[in-house]
Amino acid sequence: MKFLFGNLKFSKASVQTKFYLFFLLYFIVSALVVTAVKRQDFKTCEQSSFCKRNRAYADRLTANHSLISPYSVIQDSIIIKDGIISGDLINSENNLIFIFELHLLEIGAARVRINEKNPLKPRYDKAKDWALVQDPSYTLEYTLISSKPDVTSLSFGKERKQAVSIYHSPFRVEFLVNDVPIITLNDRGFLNIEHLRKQVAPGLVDQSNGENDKIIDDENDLDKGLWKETFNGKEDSKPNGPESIGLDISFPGFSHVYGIPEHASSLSLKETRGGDDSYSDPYRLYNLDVFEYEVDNPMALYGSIPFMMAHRKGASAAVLWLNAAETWIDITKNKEDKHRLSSLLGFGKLTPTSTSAHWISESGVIDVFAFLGPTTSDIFYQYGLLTGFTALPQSFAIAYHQCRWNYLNQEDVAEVDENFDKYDIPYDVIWLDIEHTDGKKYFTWDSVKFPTPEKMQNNIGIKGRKMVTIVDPHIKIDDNYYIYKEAKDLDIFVKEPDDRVYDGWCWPGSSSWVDFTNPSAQEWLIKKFAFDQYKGSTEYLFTWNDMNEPSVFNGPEITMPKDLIHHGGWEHRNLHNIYGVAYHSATSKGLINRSNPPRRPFVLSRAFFAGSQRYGAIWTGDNFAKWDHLAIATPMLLTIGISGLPFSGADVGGFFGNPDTELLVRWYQAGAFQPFFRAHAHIDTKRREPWLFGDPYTGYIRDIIRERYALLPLWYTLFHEASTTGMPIIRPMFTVYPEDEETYAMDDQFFVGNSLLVKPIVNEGQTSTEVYFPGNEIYYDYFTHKKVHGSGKVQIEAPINKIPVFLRGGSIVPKRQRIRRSSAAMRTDPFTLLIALNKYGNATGSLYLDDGETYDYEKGHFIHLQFKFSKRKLFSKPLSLLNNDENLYAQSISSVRVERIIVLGLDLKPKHIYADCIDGSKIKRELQFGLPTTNSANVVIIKGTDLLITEEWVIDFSY
Amino acid sequence: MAHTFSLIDPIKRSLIIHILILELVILSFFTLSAYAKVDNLSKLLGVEESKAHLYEAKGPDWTCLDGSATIPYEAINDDFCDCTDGSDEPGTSACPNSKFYCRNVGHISSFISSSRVNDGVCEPECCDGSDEYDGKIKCPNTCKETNAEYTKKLKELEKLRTQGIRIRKEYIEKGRKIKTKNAAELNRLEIELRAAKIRVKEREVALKKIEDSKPDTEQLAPKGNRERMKKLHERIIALKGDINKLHEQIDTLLSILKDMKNNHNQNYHDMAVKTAIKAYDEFLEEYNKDMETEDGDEVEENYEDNYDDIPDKEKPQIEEPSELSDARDAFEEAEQEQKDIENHIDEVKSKLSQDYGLEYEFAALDNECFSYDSGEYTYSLCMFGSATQKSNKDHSSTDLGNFAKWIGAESSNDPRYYTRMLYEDGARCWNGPARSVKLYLECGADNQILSVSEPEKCEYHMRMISPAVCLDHNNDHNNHNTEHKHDEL
Repeated sequence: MKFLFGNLKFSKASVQTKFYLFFLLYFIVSALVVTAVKRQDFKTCEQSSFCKRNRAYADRLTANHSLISPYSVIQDSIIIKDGIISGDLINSENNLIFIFELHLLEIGAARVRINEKNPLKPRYDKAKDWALVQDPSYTLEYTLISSKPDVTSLSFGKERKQAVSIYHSPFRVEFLVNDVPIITLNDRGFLNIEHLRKQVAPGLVDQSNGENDKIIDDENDLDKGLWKETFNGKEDSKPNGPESIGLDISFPGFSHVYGIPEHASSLSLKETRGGDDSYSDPYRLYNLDVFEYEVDNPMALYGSIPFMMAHRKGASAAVLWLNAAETWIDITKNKEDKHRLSSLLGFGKLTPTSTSAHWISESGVIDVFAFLGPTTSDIFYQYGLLTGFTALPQSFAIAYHQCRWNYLNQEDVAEVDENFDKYDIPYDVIWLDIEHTDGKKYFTWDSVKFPTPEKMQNNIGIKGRKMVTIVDPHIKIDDNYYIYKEAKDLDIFVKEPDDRVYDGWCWPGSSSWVDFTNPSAQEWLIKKFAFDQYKGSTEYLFTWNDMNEPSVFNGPEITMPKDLIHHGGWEHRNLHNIYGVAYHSATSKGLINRSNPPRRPFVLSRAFFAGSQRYGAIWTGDNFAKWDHLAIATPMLLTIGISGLPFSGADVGGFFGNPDTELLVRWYQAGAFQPFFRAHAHIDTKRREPWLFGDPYTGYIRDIIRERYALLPLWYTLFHEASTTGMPIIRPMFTVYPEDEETYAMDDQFFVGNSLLVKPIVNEGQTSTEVYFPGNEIYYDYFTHKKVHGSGKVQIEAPINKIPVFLRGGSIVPKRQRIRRSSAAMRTDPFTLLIALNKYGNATGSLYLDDGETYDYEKGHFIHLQFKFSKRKLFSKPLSLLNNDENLYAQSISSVRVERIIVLGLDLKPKHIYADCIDGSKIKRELQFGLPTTNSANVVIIKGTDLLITEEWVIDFSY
Repeated sequence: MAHTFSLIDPIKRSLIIHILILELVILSFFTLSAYAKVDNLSKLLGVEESKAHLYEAKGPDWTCLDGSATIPYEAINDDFCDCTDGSDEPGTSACPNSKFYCRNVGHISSFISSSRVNDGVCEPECCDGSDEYDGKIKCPNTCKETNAEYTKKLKELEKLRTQGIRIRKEYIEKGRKIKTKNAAELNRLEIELRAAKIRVKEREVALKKIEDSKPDTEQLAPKGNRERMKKLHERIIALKGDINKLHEQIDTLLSILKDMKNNHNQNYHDMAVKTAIKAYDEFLEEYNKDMETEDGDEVEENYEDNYDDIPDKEKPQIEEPSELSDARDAFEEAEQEQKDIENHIDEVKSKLSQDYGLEYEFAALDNECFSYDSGEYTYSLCMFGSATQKSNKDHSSTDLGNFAKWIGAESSNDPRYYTRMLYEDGARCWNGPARSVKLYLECGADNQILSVSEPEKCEYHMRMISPAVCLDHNNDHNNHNTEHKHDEL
């Protein structure tokens, strides 16, 4: 909008004045309209032409049962070789040929790929290069069961318990486990591949193949947007025309599906095409910077993981729809019993519910992975083998982080740092948002506010603390800015279709975006984190990648235009959802490479995709200081966690707005049980560092942060487990009690590992809550150690100073009860073992420890202990790879003790307790113990005296 | 206070070890143990001298200081927390609620939280290095240097304080004078006011008399033209009023937009706001140009010019007989005089009621202005007046508020009450509160703003030194500590 006042001449002052007034009023009105939540900034399916077309395609098939999918396997085209089943498909409506491949994978999964046989030009197929660790290997463990004209069936896996049937006409793929179908593709016939075509005349469809795109012809308005579409006045030029793909993937017999983050929505996904409590729009995956997002909404948010899991009694299954373009997913549940499931699953006359997802992506090829379980942990492992396990973070990264937009200057940082000490509240990391830079030029410092950044970092570093600065992907257009200059010279910016460098609007004003899908850009950014390149950075400094969806203030839907051009000539529309992970990956590698020997990086990213877990943590973006945002954090994080990305958190306190003290205390309590624990606040909010509220509130916040520090050994052990098995760190109830249907949709309580049951309080004024205790197991109040009376649903008191947390009977939790100012200061402190016996008097647990910084653990320098309480004996058994005399880490903590063992739930009061070394290096000795609850054996506290953590020992209870 | 630990020469180090051992010998009644050996610590480690007797062995058992439990004497400082009050572990980090005593021989003794014992950080509070003894890190004894530095600093501070106290006394003296002067002034003004009121009354009567004797002055002027001219004159005046009103409205809108530009929530990414800001910048450029080229008083001047050109006979006849006009002038003059006196009285009264501190010491600073250049902005604050922020780029000025009250403490009896001022009701922030300033005053030999920060949007904090807050009291914190300084060795 430009106003050319210079052309207008008015001789009379009053007239001119009125003219000015008119425009001023116009500006003010337009400024006032903006404060509402802005749904209208983001597309609905109806406004996204390919989504609308594919929905219409599906509706047509659903409405008319005589219609079937036009895709079928061409007779005799199927070839089975080395774990790959391939063949040709024909679309009878336009006679176009497609190739399909089905790969049987070693990891216990299968992959289905479908592409045009002779596309006009290659379709985008590089999402796999970012999401997968490597191309997965094929298994040779398979047997051809039948090869008939209408179906090809194979069994696979070591015991041949898994099977796949490819039905030829119409084309349909069915995966079975123990002869029960669990995943089917194109069951409902929604397979639709819009082939690449030439534009005959604007708005018309190419008819040269003799095709007759009936479906599209049927409804005139569906033609709109094939070659060009406009949203909110911004045009997408679409030179390649329509190129979408769609496919239905059903989970027969499963009434709950999960995953496809990121949405501010429930754990168990809702229907989107009618039904109770359903959404009207599909779930959308398109990384976007959504201002003040709404809860309970399928709108796209900052990250996308096209992974969906289904679970029922006795089986779990999952799929990964590997595509980085804008994607919509419609979910429907139905009671049709196509697969004789009622008899297969023993439902008798009851018809089981099946859930079906209709996946729709704007471009690319069909590339689907089917994970066949059979358990949820199998799926987590299989998915982890494919896309990578969570990188084991530095130990500080899982402690408490203090952030604000913005700590003003070095004095402010020093004061906040000192106040944590003064109020005896531990913290590990202080964060600097965009205002620390010189004019939003990342990798620079505002020299007035931060004249001596190294000194500032050293001052906190000496206390074992770290600092994080923000580094965003938009680069200020300024030839005097070395980062801009270098990127320009290297020609690594994202371009306009006409080859000019794209110029958009972000924090610094006019900016360009580096194309991180370009290998030269990756290489370049990695180098920029070297200490001699990033001036003012030290080994105490780590990184925060924000705005990497990418966020472009003046772009369509606050992001990049889809017709921009990336490396290799690919349009942005093909790879939008991997821009963020490409940036995250380069940043993470930059931090690894800056030290020699390398150290583990810490990079927080807002955008994410499948595979982001290899690079660091993510958070749920710009949430709101409101109770419903606190509530939604739990299902959001559980969903992200089961989708392979367990290192996640929501901003404690809520980013926008001012939380009252009750909300803030409750948020800290919830945040202390999130994998990533950071308080953050918007620049317009009141200060809210924990000490500003006064007692008792400051005390409540202090207590729960300190509890997080006490539990760091458990958290670190769980991170290690996630990094080797893919198990989520905070776990939905159904993953711990997979046979308990009561838990399938439960998302307001969860487990930390398998041992702590947590139910955050998320309602104003609430002081008691109903907690569900599954498994007919004993549970103990984590704070008071008292047994919970009853099982199933129990009403629990939760005054403001208490979050309901329970120890599950059968678990052993490693703790450190000496709370220091930072996690590093607790490195050599003794341990406390908290043992919660189950109804049989048993318990198990483990503890993983390493230096928390380097990669030495990969060479075996770690300790990993298995604890087992059984038959009135407690064993500590090292699982480490190296002997203690070769193990540098074990040596560094050789004098660290288990100072205290707390046993909950003993049936009898022990007379004596003895400790013995397995290797006989020490004589058997009696340990002192106490019974804080007199005359009851419910709690027994044993004084550890000289039990070393690195030694194997056994403790004997005698009666 | 930064310590450099690695660069200690060997001689000094051995000296430190000697000192440490010597100290232990003094402290240890029972077992003499090497400092670095963690597993058999002195029972007195971390205990202050006055409590040493509580840790003497009086048998095989020992009772926690709060009486909560009786434990074996050997369990004191055995690195396991037995007592709920933490009293059994004065020298280790085992109890979260215990304090570790650093003797700091040669300097001031202090307590640190047990969580700082053996945490790998040399606490500045423990210059003797006794807080770290498990071998993770070696903390040198820097008490001598620390004390020297401390004493020096203390002396400097004392010097400034002495100067400050002297100046404050002058302020008090000045304040007293001001107060007396104001009281006298008020007295005088009130007498004057009485006289003025009488004068107004008298002249009003005189005027009325003349007016009554000459009933119709209107008839003296020719009608017709005069009527028309008068109407035109009134219209012009009305239009002038309109223009001024419009100008005011423009100014209001401009200041709203300026606020929006300066304070808009950048995180909203709102293109409507951003477009409005861009258009505002463009508008402003054009507007300012127009304002320069166009004479703002054009209309008025035209009017004056044209008015002079009107032949005399057509001018509205507004002249009155001199007797009447003299009487009216005299009355108006008296009225004005009364108003002026009243205003003056209000002013003096408000000064008299202003809270200028415990001993009226701030009166001397009334309306004194101080400024601070932060690079981007120059802040200025006039005591008991207003605070402003001026951009160093475009010299635009923003009102940060006016003095409202003292907020150093709840009660004015608290000596801290007069150490913090609140200035409030400044220009409102876009989408936020009205700007305000908290002024933190510390003792110093002169008046100077040391720093300005905006820890929250639109809430400014200023730190300022001033002699006005240099209190002369002998038992303050520093002196108290000095008494406990260890001079032995």
